[in-house]
Amino acid sequence: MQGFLLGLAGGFSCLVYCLPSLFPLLLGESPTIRQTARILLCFLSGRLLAYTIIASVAFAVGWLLPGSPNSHLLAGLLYTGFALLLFIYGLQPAKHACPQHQVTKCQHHAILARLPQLLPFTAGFVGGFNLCPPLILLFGESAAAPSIFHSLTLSFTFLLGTAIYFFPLLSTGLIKHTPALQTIGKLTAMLVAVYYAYTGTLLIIGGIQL
Amino acid sequence: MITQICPNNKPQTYAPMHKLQALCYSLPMFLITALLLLHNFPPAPTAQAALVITYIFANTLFFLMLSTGKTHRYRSLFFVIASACFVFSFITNLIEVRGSMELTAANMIDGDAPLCPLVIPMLIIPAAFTKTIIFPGSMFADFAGIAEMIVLWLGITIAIGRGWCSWVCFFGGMDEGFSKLCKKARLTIAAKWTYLPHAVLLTIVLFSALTLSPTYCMWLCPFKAVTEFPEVNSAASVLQAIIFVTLFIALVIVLPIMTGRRTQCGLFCPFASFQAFTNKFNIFTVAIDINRCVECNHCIKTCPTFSLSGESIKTGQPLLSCTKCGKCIDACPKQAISYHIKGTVFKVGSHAPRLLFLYPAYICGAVIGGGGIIDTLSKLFSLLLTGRLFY
Repeated sequence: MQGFLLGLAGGFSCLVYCLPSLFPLLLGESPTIRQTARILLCFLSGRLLAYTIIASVAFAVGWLLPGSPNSHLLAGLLYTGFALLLFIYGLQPAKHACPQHQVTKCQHHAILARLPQLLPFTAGFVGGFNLCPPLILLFGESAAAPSIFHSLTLSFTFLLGTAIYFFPLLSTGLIKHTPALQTIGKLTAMLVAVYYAYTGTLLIIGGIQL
Repeated sequence: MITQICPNNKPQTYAPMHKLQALCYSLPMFLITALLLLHNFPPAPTAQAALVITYIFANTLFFLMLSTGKTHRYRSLFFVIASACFVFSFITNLIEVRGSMELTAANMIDGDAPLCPLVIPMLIIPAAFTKTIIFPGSMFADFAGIAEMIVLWLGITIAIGRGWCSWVCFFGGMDEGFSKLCKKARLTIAAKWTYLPHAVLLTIVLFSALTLSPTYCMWLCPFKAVTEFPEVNSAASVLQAIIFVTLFIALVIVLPIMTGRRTQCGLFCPFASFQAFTNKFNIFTVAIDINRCVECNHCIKTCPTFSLSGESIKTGQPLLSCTKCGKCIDACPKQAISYHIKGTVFKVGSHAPRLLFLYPAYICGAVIGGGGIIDTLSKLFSLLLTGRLFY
């Protein structure tokens, strides 16, 4: 219950932290509500995996807390890798551009073809390392939890609490996804990638934040 | 089909007016600009001379706009000069008041930064959710206070929609000026990039909500290079300065010269994207008579803000991003494009919609741009007569 309440209390700021990486993906694809739900589920799964890893390590060794040099380096590497993926995604033509060309191209680049499916999970996973204030509290609680089970339960319930704020995003599935919106989504993904690349590089070299 | 013939036998959409008729139609402009520009008559003779020259200059251009039937030529002249004068006036003001173009941390704490309209899209979400204005300015300052600028922007937007960007914006004249140096376009821009302003807008809104800071001003605004910029005292601020200068050179100087278009306004400015949506509810628009149009695409190549496409011409409307600058109207060889008031019968070459649009658009432009011209001229006169730039 503690994790859930913590998630509820800080969920809005989690949403604000996650939107720059999530929203371009929702625009860049042309999802129905069902596909939007799948993207959100992938995104939240990515976050759950990140929380699970960090909470486990935090509980086990007690040093990988947000703010430590190790987490800065890890976050920096993740941000930079994610920026690269996001940038490549932005460069890819939207599906509407030329379906035949897209299919042919995708057959030659299997990873690129699967990028739209991989990215929501990756975005969630990387977003899990965002140093937002409620997450810092959660890590503190996880490190001090009496057992690994408690620590993981805290992470899971925290995610559930924050997930409530993501439900309204399902409504983006109702938007009529015109080619223009898809192009805007892809271009936004490229601009967001620049931010993540910059932040990632700074975290790697000096632990400074934008 | 009626074709208007101008004195040099070149067909044009709006017939030149008789001088007396143009003078009569210009009278409201003479009176309103007199009321708005001259009401605060300055004591210094140099400022008085500057004011009178600006008044005559602005109204002469308006008169010529009516008497020749050409909109873009005279609007553009005023717009470019006003923009150049704004930069001069702004920089000299900063140097006079602060001693530098740098915006220090102390200035920010004091709320000493004048609000620029480009920030408005970034303010909305944080203001709605956190009840906080994320800008280091004062709400009711003497010069460009937040409330004052928002009210001005709102009023002008209701009146002319995205016409703001070609008639009022004190930055737009810069890339328009440089685009005039292009005799032949050496670079074409793919249609995909015309969506970039929307992507920039979305990105800065998301990041402004995330960081609770005006992201565009801090990292992306090319005009920081010629206005005020954060104090350069750290690695991050050096990077910021490099970004500002690079974007200014690329988007305001090089690309306009290479493409002949307003690339900052058409390909990057997030405010332009935001402002485009105001065209949805603004009554003034530019319309295309598809029966006259021969699809020569001359207007598409001419439009400075990439607001015309083959598809949009078929619908008889420019894209939402149209700034109503009048360039396509003046350029169309078949006189198929005209100003229009939504909900009325469209008639190419009808003077009424044009006049009704020109009055509010030019009044706003003349009063806002005129302030910069007056200040610049009076400072230059002061420099010439006394050897000092400031009073």
